[in-house]
Order: sequence, then structure tokens, then C-alpha cells
Amino acid sequence: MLSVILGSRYQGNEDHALIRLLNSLEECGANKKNCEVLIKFDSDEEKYGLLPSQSTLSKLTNFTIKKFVYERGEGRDSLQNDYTYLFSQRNPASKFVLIASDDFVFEKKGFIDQILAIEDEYAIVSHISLCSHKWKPEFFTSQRLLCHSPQEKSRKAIDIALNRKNETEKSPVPIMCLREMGAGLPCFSVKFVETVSGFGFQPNVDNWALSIAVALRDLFEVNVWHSIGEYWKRFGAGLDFQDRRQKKSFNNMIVGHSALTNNVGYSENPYYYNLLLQQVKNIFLNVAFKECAESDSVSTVECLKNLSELCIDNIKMQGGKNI
Amino acid sequence: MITFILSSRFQGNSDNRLFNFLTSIKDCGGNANNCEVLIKFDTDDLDYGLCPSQEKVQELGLPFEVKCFYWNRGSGRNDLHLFYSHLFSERNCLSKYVFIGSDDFYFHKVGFIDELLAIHDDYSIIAPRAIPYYEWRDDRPFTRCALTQNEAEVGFPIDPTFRLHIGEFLPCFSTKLIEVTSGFGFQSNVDNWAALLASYLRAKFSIDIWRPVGELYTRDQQYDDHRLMEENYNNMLIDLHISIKNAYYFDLVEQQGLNVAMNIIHGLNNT
Repeated sequence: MLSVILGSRYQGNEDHALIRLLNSLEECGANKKNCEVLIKFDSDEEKYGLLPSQSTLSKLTNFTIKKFVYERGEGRDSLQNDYTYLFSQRNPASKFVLIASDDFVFEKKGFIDQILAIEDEYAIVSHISLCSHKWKPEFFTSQRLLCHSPQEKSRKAIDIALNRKNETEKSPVPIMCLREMGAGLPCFSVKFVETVSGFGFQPNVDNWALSIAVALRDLFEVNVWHSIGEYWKRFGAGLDFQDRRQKKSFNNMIVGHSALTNNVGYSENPYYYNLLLQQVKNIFLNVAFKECAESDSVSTVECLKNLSELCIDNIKMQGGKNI
Repeated sequence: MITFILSSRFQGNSDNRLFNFLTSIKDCGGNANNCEVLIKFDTDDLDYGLCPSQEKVQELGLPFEVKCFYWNRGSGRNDLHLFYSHLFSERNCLSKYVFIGSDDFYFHKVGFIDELLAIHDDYSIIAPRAIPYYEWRDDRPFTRCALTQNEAEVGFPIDPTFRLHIGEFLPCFSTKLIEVTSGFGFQSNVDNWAALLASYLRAKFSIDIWRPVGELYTRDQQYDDHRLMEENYNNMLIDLHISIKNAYYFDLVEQQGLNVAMNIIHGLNNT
């Protein structure tokens, strides 16, 4: 089963076309067995009577739609938190979760079954191929060193680290890769999201997904990326972007080409990359231990426990330090 | 350095003793070299002039840095774990520990900051008291089939032991631990999450990350139950009075525990 999750808002959102999205999903082959949709609405819209009732939603399509209503909070800027909560509410039978938005439509018939046919436990599914640009370890080394610097100074130093001479110069790799080639509506295997404990630290989950996939490939030779070709189309981005340009976010880790990040295309808080790389490492360790467990015909936990018993004295000797 | 992080609200919060909290850190030995405090205020409190501005906080003349952050209240207390996770990303990267604070507590043990900083574990949770360790029942009903179900729907009782309060009110975490778990869990009672994580690591991998150090603080007010009356969207909330409704929570915490164990046993120093 595929769980489609999204946050939807009516007020101030001229691009809103939730029904169109749901209909397109059904037209592309969604049914009760292969799909469910989980939607987070804002509680202020419930108060104003703007939201469809659960019973209305249930009659709309032939698949299950679950409605969740709670405070808007920071709205778009905290979407990743909404996704993480909706993830915890999914049908346990779902293998994949797809991040959607109410200004998109699905276009490709059979794309759900195509996704569900992917057998990898750790997978990100996208409409595009993974960009060929390389991860630059020295870039992240710089980020780590800079994480205590004042923000402006950090940005300047990041530019130097990237050989970026001025603001108008085109972003070099991997920034171009991270900035321009998000995955639109990315789709994740459930195990992947469980392992990284959610959807990252900023709302542009597509960009986060791409960053993780590039780092996994280039640092650990693990490929989680699956391209299935175009399966969606966006209608409304223009208005959305205009709105976003007018507001500075509380979250200085947002990566994307909106003005929230002053079009720099990378996180203003370089610590973001350290946090992201730890998630990458967690995926790698899980993949590695799973392979180990499979070769010994024991569970990952058992495999790790055996190793733990061997290492425990060593850990104690080192005062719990990372060995 | 230790980073104290907390969310503070003035409206409808008669227990707010933020300045007592800050002063107690100073009285117990907090200074510019060994600590910083990061506080999240709600924007509606700021709009009404109820919470202090960054300038006002600086006028207090505290001997350590206090950074103020203002954003939307969201679901308030029920989003605390999310607030903490963002504040964590704003910390001084020299900090070794993050101490969860609250504006109705105050510290009373002089020298506790330096005492904590003398603990050299990459992966640890520091708290006043030891916690009882529960056996991790593999036959427990925290299986995927119980996802989003309540006891009646599941058809069998959810482990009552986790209805007990096994938390520590104000836990303190090594920063490496929080990096590995990607934040502070999935519900607002972070103390309970901490105890659960530690229990899992001990039961499954014989790894003990809990460091009891004796009493450090006092809660200014009686434990209040006002939040029990608040509507809560999060069915993973768990504490003394609230039985968890979404058992998938335990699977998610297990995965975090597995990640911690893997990083301890097979750490790679490339991040």
C-alpha cells in the first residue's frame, strides 16, 4: 500500500485544488487496496467551516482518506513536522509514503503499482534520475568548521569553500544539484523514514531527499534512488513562491530556491549538513547490518547484539566514546 | 559547554518563573564559558508584550548568553519536542550537552554544570535519579498491527508499565545522542522518551547510557494537570496519566535505539 500524505490549506492559497488532486489519484489507479491519503488541515479553517467533513471525504473516492486537524503553527515552514506526524498515523500495511501537495495532479496511470513493485527496503522514488554531480566532502568539512560562526561570516566562508566568487555567479556543484533538482513529490520507503526518524529539518523535503541520496551514493556507495519517470504535474507554483518571498522564516535551515533562503540555495545554518550527514550514516549502518544479519540468518538486532557483547568491554574502557 | 533549551509562555501560565530559572543557573555557577540558554517564546506573547525581547533579556546582565527565538505557538505544550529540536540546531556547536529546561523549575546545586561537563560520554542521558529498567517484551503488543489503534480496537491491553511515569522531568542529553536520534522523539514528554530509549538500549544491547548524578533542581509549583484538559492531537503522548494510543511509537523509538547502538558500536567519524 502507498500512503499519500499532505498538508492542505484554503485561506490565502489560490493554488488550492485538493479535489483535483484526489480525483487524479483515483484516475491513475488508486483504490482501497493500494492507496490511502492522509491530510493535515489547519484548525483555524475548521473553525471557519472551510473544511470538508470526514464523511464527505470518505464519499469522494474509492480509497481511504483520513483527515487530521490541528494548529497551523508556522504553516508551510514546518511542513516536515506535519509529515512526520502523519507518517505515524499511516496504515501499517503501507510500504511507501508519498509527499503530495494540493496544487499538483497525478498524470501517470499505474504509477502506484510501479512504486509498490520496488522491493528495496531503503528507497526514494522520484520522477527524475539522481543528478550526477558529486558530493564534495571538503564542502561539509568547511560547514562543520563554520557552524559556530556568525551567519554572515558563515555564508561568506561557504562561498569561499565553494569557489563561489560573488552572489551573481551561478552556484557550483553540489549546490546546483541541491538547489535546482528537487524531487517535486518524493516518495520514500517506510523503512527509510523510520530510520531517519522523520522528514528532516526543513520543509523542502524534496531537497532533503536529494541531498541524502547523493551523500549515500558518494560517501557509502549505497544507491537508494529510483526513477519512475514523470508521474505528476504542478499547476500553481508561481503564487506560492510570491507569498514565500514576502516572509522570512524562523527556520534558518530551509534549502531551496525561494527567497526564504535569499536565493542562496543552501541552508543558512550550516549545522543542517552535519545533521543530515548523521542521517546518512544511520541509513548506511542499517543497510550494512541488515546485510550482515541476512548472511548469518539472524535478525539485525541479534547480529548487533552479538557484536555488542564483543565490544562492550571496549566501550566501557573508552568511557562510552565513539569507537 | 551546556546548552539549556526551553520553551516559555506567559499567557495562561501562572507557573511561569522564567527569571528565577535563569537566575538559578547563574547562582549555580553558569558563566559565559560553560553554558548558554536558548528560549523559544510564542509570537502571540511577543505581540502582546508579555514575553521579554532579546534586548530586555540582555539587560538582566546574566553572565552567560541567552538567545531568544520567537515563532508561532502551534499546538503549544504538545509541540515541545519539535521546539526543542529546532532550538537544538541553533545551539553553540561547542556545547557537549543539551539540558531541557522549563520555566517553573530552578536549579539548586552549586557547581552542577562543571560536574556534568566532566562526564565524557559521547552517548549519555544525565538525570538526578536512576530509572527502573523494564524488560523489553518481545511479545508486547507494540507491533505494527497495533498502529493507530486503541486498546479496544486492538483487542488486547497495551503494556500498562509504560503508563507509569518513568521520566525524569528535566533530562540532559549528550549532543551526539540527539544528532543520532534526529531530535527529541515523537511526543512532548521528552523525559519519558529518554527513559524509554535508555531502557531499550539496556535491555537489547546491554548498553547503559543513563547517568544519575543526584538532585539538581526543584519544581517551583506542584505538578499541574492543566494540560490534561487541553485537547491533544498527538496520539503518541505518554506519561503518568496518559496511556499511549498509538503503539507504533514504540517501533519508532526502537529504531532510534538501534541507530544509537549501531553508532556506539560501529561509529564512523566522518560526520
